[in-house]
Amino acid sequence: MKLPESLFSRLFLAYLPFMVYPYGFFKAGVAALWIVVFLWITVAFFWFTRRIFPDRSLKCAFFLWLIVWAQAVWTLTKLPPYWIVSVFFLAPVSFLEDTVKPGHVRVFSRQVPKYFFERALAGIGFAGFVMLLALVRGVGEKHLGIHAFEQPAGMLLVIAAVAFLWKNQPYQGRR
Amino acid sequence: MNIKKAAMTASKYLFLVLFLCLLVAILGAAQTLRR
Repeated sequence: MKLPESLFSRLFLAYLPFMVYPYGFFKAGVAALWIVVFLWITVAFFWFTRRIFPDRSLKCAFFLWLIVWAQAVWTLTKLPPYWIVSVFFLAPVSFLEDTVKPGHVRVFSRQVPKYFFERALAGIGFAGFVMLLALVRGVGEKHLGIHAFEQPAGMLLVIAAVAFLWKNQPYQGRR
Repeated sequence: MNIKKAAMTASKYLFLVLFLCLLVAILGAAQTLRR
């Protein structure tokens, strides 16, 4: 499977598991923060240890790491077991093969802040995206009385329908 | 030169074993903390 590289597509994919969570604004925010913090831990861990792994076992180690943490956090907190899917989509596997090879980068060079700044931005963007959609859902359901907004999937269906109709307006011609 | 290479490979696999131990420890810690 080829994963998209653009940030918004990845944010959207990472949001997909949230569509089945019956979460309000607060719980969705807490879950998003868990996911973002864990994403940062994963990125930092593999940035510093990537070269120490045997070449062929790096991807297996990455998946094992994700699965073990998914299980551990699931037993400790009340997050649903597939919270890890969001982390996986936020950090596509290609981040293991980044063009910036850590072997050519010193620990205190300018590449390191740039690399982590992009990842930090992706995490903050994801948390903001989740909270914004939760807020829109709460307002639409309680104040505007839109029944489809009772579920996150219903809200996305409405948004997708609006976007589809907007893109396919009847041809009006030039007057 | 060859010895150096062999030592590098061996240390990489040693690190892999340590990493797997870390994962098992994480799972064990989660199980213990839950009780």
